[in-house]
Amino acid sequence: MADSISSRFSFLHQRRYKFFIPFLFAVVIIIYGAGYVYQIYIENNWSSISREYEQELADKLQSRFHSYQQTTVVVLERITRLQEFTSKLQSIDSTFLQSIFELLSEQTKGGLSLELFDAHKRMVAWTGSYGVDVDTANLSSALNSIVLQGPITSYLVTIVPFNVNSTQWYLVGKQLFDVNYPINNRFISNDVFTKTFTHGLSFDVEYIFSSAAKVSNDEKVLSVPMVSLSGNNIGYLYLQRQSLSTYHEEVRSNIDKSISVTLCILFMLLLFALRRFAQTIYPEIVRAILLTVGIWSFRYALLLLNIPNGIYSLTLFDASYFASPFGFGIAQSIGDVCLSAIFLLVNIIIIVVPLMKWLLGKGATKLHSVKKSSTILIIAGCCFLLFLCMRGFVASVNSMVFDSTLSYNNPTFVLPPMELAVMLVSQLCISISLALFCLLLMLCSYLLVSSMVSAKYHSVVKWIFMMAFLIALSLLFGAFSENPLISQTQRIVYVLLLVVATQLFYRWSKESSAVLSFRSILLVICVAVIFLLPILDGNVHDLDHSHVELLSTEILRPVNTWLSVVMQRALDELANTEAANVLSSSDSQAITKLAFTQWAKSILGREGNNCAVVMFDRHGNIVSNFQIGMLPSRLSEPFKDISPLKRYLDIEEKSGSSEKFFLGYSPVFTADGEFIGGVWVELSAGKQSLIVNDATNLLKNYSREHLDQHYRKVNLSEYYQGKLVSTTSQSIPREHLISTQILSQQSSLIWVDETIDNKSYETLYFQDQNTSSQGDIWFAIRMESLDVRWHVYSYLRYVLFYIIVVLIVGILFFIVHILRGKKIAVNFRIKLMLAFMIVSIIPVLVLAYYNRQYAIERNEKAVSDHLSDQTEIVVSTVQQEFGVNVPVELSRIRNEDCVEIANRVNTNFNIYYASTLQASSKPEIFTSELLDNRLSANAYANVILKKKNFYIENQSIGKVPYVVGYRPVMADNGAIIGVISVPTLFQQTEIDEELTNRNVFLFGAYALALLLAIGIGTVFANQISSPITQLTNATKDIALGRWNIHLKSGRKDEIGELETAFEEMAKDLQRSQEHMLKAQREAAWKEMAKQVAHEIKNPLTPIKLSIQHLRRAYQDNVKDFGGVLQQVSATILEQIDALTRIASEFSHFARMPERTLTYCDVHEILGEAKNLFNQETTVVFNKEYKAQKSVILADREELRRAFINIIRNAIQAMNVKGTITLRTTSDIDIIEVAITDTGSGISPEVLHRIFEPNFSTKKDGMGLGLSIVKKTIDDLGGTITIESTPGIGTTVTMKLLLSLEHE
Amino acid sequence: MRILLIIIICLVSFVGTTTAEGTNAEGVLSISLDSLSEQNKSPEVVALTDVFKEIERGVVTQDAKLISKHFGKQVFLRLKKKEDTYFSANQAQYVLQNYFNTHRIISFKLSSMNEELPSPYATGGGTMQIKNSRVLFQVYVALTKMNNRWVISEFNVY
Repeated sequence: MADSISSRFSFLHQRRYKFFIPFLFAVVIIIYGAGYVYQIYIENNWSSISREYEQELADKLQSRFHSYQQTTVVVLERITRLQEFTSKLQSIDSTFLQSIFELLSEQTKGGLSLELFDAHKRMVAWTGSYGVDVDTANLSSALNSIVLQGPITSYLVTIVPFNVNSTQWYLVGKQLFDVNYPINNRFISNDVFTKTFTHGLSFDVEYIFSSAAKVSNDEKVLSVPMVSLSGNNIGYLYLQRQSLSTYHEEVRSNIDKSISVTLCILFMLLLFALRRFAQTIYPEIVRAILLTVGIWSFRYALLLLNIPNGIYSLTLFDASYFASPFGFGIAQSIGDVCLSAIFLLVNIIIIVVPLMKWLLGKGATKLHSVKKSSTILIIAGCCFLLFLCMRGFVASVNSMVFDSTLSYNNPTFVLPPMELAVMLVSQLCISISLALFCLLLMLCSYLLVSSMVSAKYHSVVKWIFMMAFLIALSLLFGAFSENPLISQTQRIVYVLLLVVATQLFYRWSKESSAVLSFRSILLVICVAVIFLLPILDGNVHDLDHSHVELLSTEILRPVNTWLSVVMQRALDELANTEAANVLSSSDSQAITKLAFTQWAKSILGREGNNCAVVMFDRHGNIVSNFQIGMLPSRLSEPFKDISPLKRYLDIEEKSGSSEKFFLGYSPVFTADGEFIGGVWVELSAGKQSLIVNDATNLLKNYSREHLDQHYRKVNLSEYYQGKLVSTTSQSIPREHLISTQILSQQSSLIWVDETIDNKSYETLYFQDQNTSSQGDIWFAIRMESLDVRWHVYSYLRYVLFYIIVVLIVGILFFIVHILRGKKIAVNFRIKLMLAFMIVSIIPVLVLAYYNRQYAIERNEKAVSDHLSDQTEIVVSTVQQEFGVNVPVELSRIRNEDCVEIANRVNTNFNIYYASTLQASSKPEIFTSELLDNRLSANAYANVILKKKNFYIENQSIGKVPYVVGYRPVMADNGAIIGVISVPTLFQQTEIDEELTNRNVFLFGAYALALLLAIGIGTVFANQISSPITQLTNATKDIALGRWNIHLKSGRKDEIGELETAFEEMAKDLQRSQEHMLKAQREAAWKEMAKQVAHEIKNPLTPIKLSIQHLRRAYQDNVKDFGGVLQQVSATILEQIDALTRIASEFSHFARMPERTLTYCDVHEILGEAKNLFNQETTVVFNKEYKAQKSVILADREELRRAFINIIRNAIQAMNVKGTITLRTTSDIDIIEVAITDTGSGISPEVLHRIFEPNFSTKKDGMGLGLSIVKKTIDDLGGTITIESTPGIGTTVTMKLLLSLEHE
Repeated sequence: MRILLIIIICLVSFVGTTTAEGTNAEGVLSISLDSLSEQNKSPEVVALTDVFKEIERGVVTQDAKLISKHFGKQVFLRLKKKEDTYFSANQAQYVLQNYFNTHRIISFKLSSMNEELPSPYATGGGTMQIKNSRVLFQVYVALTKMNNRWVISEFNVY
């Protein structure tokens, strides 16, 4: 017993456990202790530590700044040395400027803008954005650098002077230094500007780059001087000094992280140790429970240690994407849910696979012995568990959709973004776990049903019986426990699917040697995907409804709650001291942009409502204004009806519109209380702006505008007393009425499927129950109904994603296998199938690629044509409107004029006078510096220098790519006086929609083609490979001595001929084998006769001699004749015994009694054989019976004798002292019995002869024992092998055929 | 001996009670919403006040569960420079808890309550610590009635 336990834990002697576990414990203690000591050290030496820390920080920042400057200098100096560049500067001709523009465009990269100044300090060429103004006074003959701070952006400006033919030139590089950009939306965020100096710093930094910059007086602020390329101090960076407490926190956090990682490794080792230990535990169910506890303990340990999120902060572990309270925190983020899903999958595999093996082996026999009444109860229990699991699964998918902010319903992606991809993988893992568990339950149910139904019925009858039983139970379950998440029909469909899948799984497991073969795994994945997708699609569809319902609550929300708070807060923030400082300064650029910068930093910028901000000076003159989505009403008489020194707040309703406006004013005072100006704010509280927003989305923060992201076209209609009053849709007729049926309903939200003008909608009707409206106002939000194509698209893109995931996992698995030196056996059918798939997929993919390219080109052409038309219309409208033919007239055009024309021609545009922006219909984009005031260098070169009539260029803002069309404005004399640009920036929604529609169509068509190719490929592969598989199986049968082979498939092709030939060959082989066996038998008998004769001779000689001796003694009348007689008779009797023994052994070897074959349990026989040696107290027997199935067809006595023989040999080899291990394992149709001793072993020289008759290593052995054993095993169709290491021991391994019929 | 034991128990109880009173967040609340509870109020408004009191306690003690139990099915959550959208009640609880984990509340008080039906709301302010610095913050909480229960429809930290 003690030996048995110690052998179970013997693996702990391995180095990884013996050394690492105590080592890791020691590491934890050391880290903890060292951390404690270090913290005390910090407290005692804080002043020197902080000094060193700050010095290090300052050095780091200065070196970073230096290398930031050097990067630009290297590029600039390389350009100035370019032969092509200098030669152009030497010979100034008509194409000089064009060439320089082109060259600069080619050389610039990484967001670097270039400007070339001549000796007179005039800019002659440029590329990239304008950014901030460079003071030409800074252009000197020495290399120099400065940082220019604008209100929104700051630039590092590097000036490289150079000479060409004694002429001075200056090449100026502008590199973005920092973006003071508060807008954070799906287009623009500070993350977009990753190539700035401040990006990547782990702390906030402020800076002043001017001669006024000096060391901060604040003790809490660390000032770091910054040095230019010329060696001058050009400014300071300011950052918060680290306090002792925060330093302590940082140190503590690092200690905690180190301890967490060490503990994590320790727990992992313990988990491995548990796995090793569990391998020695029986029965399997106890092992499964033990491993389950271990796995989930490890999962919760990770949660407690906050790994991996605590070590490296990942967005995947952010609750803002997904969080659910399920499982006490194991699903509190996408990352957590993914980890938990993987743990679940591993856990289910550990439980399900051994149980399936058991069910397909030994368990089947045991299930047959279950009483009928209990069988029905167990099946009902299995089904109940099955339905519960389904319910849990549906609830989990529902939570993953509704407890998340992921864009499941975004049709624009074909492959999902990272966060959604991880979530989808998690769902697949859970779904595979469910499928595996359900298959186990179904398999168990089927075997129970089989035991109930008489064996004479065909298996199809059993399956049908089971299906009927399950459907009945499903109906019963649904009737008692109705679930809104899964319908009765859906459950029944899933049950039917499971029955089919289980049938296939059962068949394949029987055919294959493993429970989870390649095709079984594919089957499980397919079942999982089929389970998941309809539920997911249904939930996503419900999500659209949920969004629309949210929109309805937003529309009904009274305007005067949050917006009044916003207004109050906005006025506080807009009229703060920062505004006062700017207003009292002389910085005209900062004052002009003040309205925008204040708006962007205020709650208005964060909220993103349509609003207008106007800044006044103390005299009531407008100094700055910024509007988004609306025009301010108070531009002419700002202080009309209000006192400039008092705050003012009002709500104004526009006549003829349901829209309301919050109006507010606040005076701006300096820190000394001096009145310096005022700020006027107008805020739209319109309902329709929630759906159709005039405001530029680029300038909006994430906010309620998430409601815009329906991805399905949504329109809003307002009804008064059932009649349509207003609508955002062009397709709803003005005379549309709400049906009386809806008007009479009491429900607050009414969903209706309706068709208006041949268009189908899913419409939500809801009533405005505001007391003032007396319930006469109704709203309707309509979503266009999705057609079949959309559903196909939605399903197929998930399928595509899952195919990619499975392929990646498969490839990884393949690589790991190869690296571990294992071979992966892929059968002919799979290879053929893969070959078919590749051959079919490649042309489809190539075609898809070319088609897509063609579609993109066509799209680009369409965009280009569209822009060409639009620019032409705008240019002619502008010229007609203003009679522009001389530059002076162009310079008079204002933003308001552009807005008016834009509304008329339905196109937003910009006008450039020379190379600078003159006016725009969307000036806020320029005010916010999202677009450059300077004409693009390429446009300048092409339109103005090369005089192209139309030029198109690809540009981008943040992550938003767009196209701009340029067209010159010509004077009557043909001179170019300006340029009109029309960007597609404001039509991005339409373009996205167009792309999505194209994706839906193309993707659907190609995915269908791919599925067809895969399907047809699979069928062909099966057709071709099935005769070869049959032939392979037949060959295996022949090898096992089964000659009864029938391959007649009725085919008349080469395969048919091969089958006929194979069968004939099998018959010939059988005949040959019979002949051979006969000859062998004869030879064996001859050999045997010789052996018998030889063996008999040996005892006969002493008998003869003894009798002669006796006769002589008698004749000689020997005195002690009695004694002689006694001695001689003893010898004779002894020799006669030897003869008897020889006869007996030969009899066993040669004859063997007639066999009585019965089903017998190998474990039982092995046990009986072992029990015979129980009196050998110095021999320890270890039993390791791992075989799931152990019933074979054999002669019980004969097998027992064989085992006794081997065990006896083992005991003799150990000199009756040591350990004998009896070990069994099983595969699908084979049981392996291994008997291992710890004896002296057999030398390799004689090992190969051990089964030969008449060969023995023992002095008194006949050498027949192991020969008889071998014959017994051979006759049973099995094999016997022996392995031995001298001094260590010997293992005899027997492989016997299991009796599958017995199941 | 027995008397001595009784004295010790009494002393311990007294110290325990005073300590508990000293740290009880309810104590802070009773000051901040005192003025509200003193007025003559309908049961509806009393229910509202109770909800606001619990929200205040949730913010003061940084216990997202106290607040999240009043969340509606979906809640609009806006956390200063952080999340800014509609969340399910389940998700919002974790988002709020994560926010509290990185933003330590030093003080907070709901200063005004608007009981106007059907959209009552309250606003308040306080101080929080983020890393090395202390910042002021404002809170706006709007309630709505759902299934005869006042639930949070919007929670803004701005």
